[in-house]
Amino acid sequence: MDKQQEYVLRTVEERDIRFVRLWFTDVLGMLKSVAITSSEIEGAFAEGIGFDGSAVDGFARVQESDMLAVPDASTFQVLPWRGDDAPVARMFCDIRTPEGEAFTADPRQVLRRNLRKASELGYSFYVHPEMEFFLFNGPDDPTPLDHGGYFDLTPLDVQSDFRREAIQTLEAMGISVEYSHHEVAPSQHEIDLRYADALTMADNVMTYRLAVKEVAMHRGIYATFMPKPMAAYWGSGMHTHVSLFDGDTNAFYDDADPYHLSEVGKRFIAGVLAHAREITAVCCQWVNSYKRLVPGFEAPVFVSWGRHNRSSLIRVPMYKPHKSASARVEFRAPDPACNPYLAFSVILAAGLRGIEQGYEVPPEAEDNIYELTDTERRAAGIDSLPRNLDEALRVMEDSELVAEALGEHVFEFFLRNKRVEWDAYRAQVTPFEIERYLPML
Amino acid sequence: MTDAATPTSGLLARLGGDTRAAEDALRALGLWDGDRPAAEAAPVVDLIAASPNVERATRAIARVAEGHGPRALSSHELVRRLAVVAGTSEALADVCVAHPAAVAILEGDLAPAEVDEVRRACHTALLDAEEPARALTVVQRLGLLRVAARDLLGLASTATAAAELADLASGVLAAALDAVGDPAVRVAVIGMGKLGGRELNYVSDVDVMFVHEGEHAAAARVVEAFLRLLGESTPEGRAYDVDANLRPEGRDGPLSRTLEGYQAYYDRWALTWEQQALLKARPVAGDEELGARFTALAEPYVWPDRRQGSDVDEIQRMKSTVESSAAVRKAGSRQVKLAPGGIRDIEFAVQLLQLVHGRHDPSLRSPTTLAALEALAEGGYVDDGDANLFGDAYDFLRTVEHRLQLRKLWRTHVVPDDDAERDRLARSCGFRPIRAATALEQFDREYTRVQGYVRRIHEQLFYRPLLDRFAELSSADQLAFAPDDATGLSREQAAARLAALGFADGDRAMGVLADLAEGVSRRARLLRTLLPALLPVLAAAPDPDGGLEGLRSLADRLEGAPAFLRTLRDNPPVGEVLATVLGRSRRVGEWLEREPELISGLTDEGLAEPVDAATHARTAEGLLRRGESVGRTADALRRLKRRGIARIAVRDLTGRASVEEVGGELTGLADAALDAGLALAGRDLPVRFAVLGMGKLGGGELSYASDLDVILVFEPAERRREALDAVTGLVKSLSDITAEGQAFRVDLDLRPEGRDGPVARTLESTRIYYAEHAQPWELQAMTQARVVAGDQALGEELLATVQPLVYPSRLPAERLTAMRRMKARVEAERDKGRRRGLGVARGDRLDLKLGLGGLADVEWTVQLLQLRLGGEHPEVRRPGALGALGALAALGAVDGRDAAWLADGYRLLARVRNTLYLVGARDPSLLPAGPGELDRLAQTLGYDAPGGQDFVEDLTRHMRRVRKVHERLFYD
Repeated sequence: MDKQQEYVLRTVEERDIRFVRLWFTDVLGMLKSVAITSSEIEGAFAEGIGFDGSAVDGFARVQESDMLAVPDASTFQVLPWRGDDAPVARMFCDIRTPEGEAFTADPRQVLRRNLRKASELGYSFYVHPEMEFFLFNGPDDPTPLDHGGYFDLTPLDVQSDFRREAIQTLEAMGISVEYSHHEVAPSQHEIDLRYADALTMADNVMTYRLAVKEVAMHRGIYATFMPKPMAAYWGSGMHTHVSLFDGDTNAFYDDADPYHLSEVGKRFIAGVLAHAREITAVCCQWVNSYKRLVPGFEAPVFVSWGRHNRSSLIRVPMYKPHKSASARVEFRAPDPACNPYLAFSVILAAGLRGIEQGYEVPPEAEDNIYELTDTERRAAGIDSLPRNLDEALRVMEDSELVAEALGEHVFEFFLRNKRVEWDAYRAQVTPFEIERYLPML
Repeated sequence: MTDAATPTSGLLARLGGDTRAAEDALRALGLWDGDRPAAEAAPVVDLIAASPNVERATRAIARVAEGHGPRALSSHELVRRLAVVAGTSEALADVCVAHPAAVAILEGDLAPAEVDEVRRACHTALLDAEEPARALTVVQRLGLLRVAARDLLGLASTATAAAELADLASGVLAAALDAVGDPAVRVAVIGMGKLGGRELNYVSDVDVMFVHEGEHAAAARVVEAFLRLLGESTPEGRAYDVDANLRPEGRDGPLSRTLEGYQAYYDRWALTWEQQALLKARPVAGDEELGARFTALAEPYVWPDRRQGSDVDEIQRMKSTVESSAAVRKAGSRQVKLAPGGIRDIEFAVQLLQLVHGRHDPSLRSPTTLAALEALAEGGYVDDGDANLFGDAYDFLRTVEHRLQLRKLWRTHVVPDDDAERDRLARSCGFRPIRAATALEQFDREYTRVQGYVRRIHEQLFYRPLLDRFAELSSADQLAFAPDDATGLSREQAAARLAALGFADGDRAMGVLADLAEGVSRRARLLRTLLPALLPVLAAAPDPDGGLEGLRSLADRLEGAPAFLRTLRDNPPVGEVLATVLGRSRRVGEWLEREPELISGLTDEGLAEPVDAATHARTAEGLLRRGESVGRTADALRRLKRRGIARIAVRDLTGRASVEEVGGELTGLADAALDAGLALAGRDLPVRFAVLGMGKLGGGELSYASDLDVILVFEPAERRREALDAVTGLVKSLSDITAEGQAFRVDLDLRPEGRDGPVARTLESTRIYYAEHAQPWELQAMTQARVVAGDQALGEELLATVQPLVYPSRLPAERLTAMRRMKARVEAERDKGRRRGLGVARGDRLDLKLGLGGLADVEWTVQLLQLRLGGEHPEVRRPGALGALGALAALGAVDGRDAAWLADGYRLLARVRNTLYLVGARDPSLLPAGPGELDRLAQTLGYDAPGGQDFVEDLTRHMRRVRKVHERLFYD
């Protein structure tokens, strides 16, 4: 038993915590939870808690239906929204097979595997996501609570109270918040998490989504990470800032470069661009995700990069003098409803491929690419992101990179599951069709 | 002058190449007379020349005499001692030069120094020392000199020297603790590792833990001061590198704990290895009573009443970690400590046996390796002979290690590569040149020999006493003694040991071993000598328990064939191959039971080459020439087949044959059987037959489980009745199951009109059928046709007639469509009854043949391309998926990556199917469902255990790729 585990047991005893929730994530990015009593914790550390893997999306395979959830003591946190009376805590788990092997389809394990590849090159992968979400009256009522806009201060309203409480909750769980503000669209908000290593950050994203929803529920409102709830307004993205560190050194930074971007940084960008279409399905995994990726709302539509261009798929943020550590690359495709473990995995894999194979970064897109004609764009070699889930899946199907990054099991399940989702969607008759065709045809 | 010059230069030369130093030395000793050595120098030169390194010894003597005055080296004995020590250790020579006290030690009686003497010496040195750390270091170095001198002069054995080194450390540690002590708190220092075991090296970390009673902060202060004092770097070096990281929580934990603190930790948190490390714990300094209480506290953790299964696992893991660690793999045999057959091997073996048996037998609990080994031998847990060899080997290797370290007092475990340096090492270990061999040659030979036998008996060490037990039991039975009074292992102990070594069910394994080795029969006696070599191989196999059962079954079956056991005895590699095979496949074990004469051929040379088709054919013909009855000859064919397939399987399971080679050899065997069967059935008939092999037989890619798909033609038409009878006879002679089993299952269903058609036709009738009635799939099947037996000319004629029909210059669209629809229907039928859509149902197992990306996908893809292109490109008309794929790739019809994906997938899938058949799977096309089975399969295929997931990942990746290419090339 290590010190972390000892600390957990001591805290549980001191704070009289009766139940601990063991969290893990299914292949689609949904949080799963098994509650155990405080007396079971020690056993859980030693041997894990058994559960039926076939009950979890993406885990089932005959030979693996018996599985173990083994809590990671370093992720122990008391859940602030459960109050102090009978406090409840949580730990993230790693999933193991009965032989004690790390289970290959556990998203945490998928990310660990990819991080290991990075560390073989001497790199640690850091991530800082800007997560956007909407507040509504309820899950069945997407009416905005305001008509606010970017940086609007709407004092004393339920929403700024909400943001304050959400931030307090996150901080209480050891998740540092960098920044928060009202977003462009009415009722839309953004809370940015301070950068952390990718595994911690993926755990944080999972916690964040739950915490935000819990706080909203306490206040009688509803928070959603749906990528595009209202056609007329901006969607919710999860712009993901990434960087590679070699020890204390930011491998993306180069003083001598006009962009302050190192060769490694450029090749990483080149890798993500080259494989951007292949990894889109993982970063934008729902039918609705593609309603966000349309022109007119500053969401990325084309495969391009730039420094100032807000419509680029990859943006290199302005360098702040004397802050070499902050050199980074912003990948703007993911939305907050993705599975963060898998999304970080494929972004990293694409970037590393660029580094390892020495990809050349294409020229920066200076113009506003939306104003270019199709032929101009083609002449400039600028590709489009997949226009819908179907196209994204077709591209992904042919990607050895994604298969390798996710592992065959997750790769196959993901495609199969999403194919079913697309087929179900295809069979819908939408309000658009009724409104447009019924009067006319 | 010339007369005198010879003895002078001769004397000097004997003091090494540096005459200047030699002159200095003799001068300093007062043995120089004008321009030459004094007359009385000769005996002194003799003494110096006996040093392992004369040159160094000479220089050291010169320096000591210069430094301390010529009278410092007044006696010949002192010169001798200095020459021996300095010749081995440059570092200790420096100590002698720097400290008059060192010379005094060499001059003294060289009695061993007790712990308390060292401690008092430290106290004295510390009394008015300005630099206490330096004072302690000097005492420590002088102590090393004393031990080294005793060691090198033969006053102490290597083991004794190691114990004295530990005592030296205890004394210095005790004095250091005295110096920093605080009356407010009691502290005891617990020695761990080699210090605890009283088997310290000249240079090594000193592993300790601290226990205290009293104020925690005070204890922490004392311990920190203690570590500072000993670890401080001084001009003399530092006293000891004290390592306190074996303590609970390692670096993160508090340096010292109270007894209660340790108890709480070991009760709740300690990992198995942490508890096992306590095996070596021994109080070495500080409060004795507290130390003794710590020992008492530790005991139940090292020796729990019950050892859990997971502990045994951990012991085993420890073992495999050591065996596969990068250090071991990288370090060549020159690594005294870690190389296979090195010190670590011995220590590990002894510790494992202690941990398994020490729970019940307190006599085994010594922390000292050699003492524990002796106790193990005394208790009968280890064979006496093995224990002696191990003890000697340990002693030799530790001596080498000591001498290595003495040279510069560096922590090294590597025997030098350089011959000259190794020669000096050899001399310092006591080897002297003799007429037949230099010291170096003798050392190298001895070193290799020792490592060799440690390696060889290392694992047998575990098994021999298990078997001795049976010998003793049986004699005890005869004398009507109660069996458990016998010395050695109880049944329970033996079972525990087997479980620790990798057998899943130790009890059951013990029962099987008893069947094999118990009693006074010749068989049992032979097996008791053979099993120690076989069991380690079985234990490392994917299925140790099954392998052991297989061995018993083999031994039972071959009860009456003493040659079997004799072969194993006289030819040890045979046993290794046999155990390797048995630990993987019961099925092959059964084949070998029935073909015992194969067993003597299971050697490297015997298995090196595949048997080619011509040899199989010759052997089969030989059977016919015996002229026996049809029934007897057919049975002889069955035996031929079984022998052939068993040998192929052994080569396959021991990694000697690729999957193509396996397929090719099986096909050669089948061809021979068909040819002989046909000759047998058609004997004396005026009829010509030709046999076309179809499917995998035609393709030369048979698997173990394949049927033989054939089509037969005969001539002339007038002999139809006799011909059809003969064909039926052929099928019967090969396919009927008799007491000798079955040769091959011959399948005629691919013939024209299938089951409704006659079993054979004439050439013309066959031609007409293919020209006018054949279905598209029948023409497709013809892509695999090959003349495999009978009248070659007739067969070729048939092929030549049919080929243009199979490969028209342009494949008609309806044939293409028919083929695609048929494939799609096969897939749909396979899916029928399965749960469709999301989530994979329990019981849904990966289908290697018909599943998505399975073997059929490769075969159909290749055949479709052959049919499309074969009209124009005759070079692609060839049976066999891999061969045809190669031809298609050469033609550019399949691009490089697609071809590689198909071929790699085909090979892996075929290999997995073959392996599944050999391990006895009911349906070799379905991947097993249980994690245990999957892991065993993965291990048999060569994946590291536990490798079930890695294997499935690999397999599904190959299948996905095959599927992708198939969908593109077949349906588009």
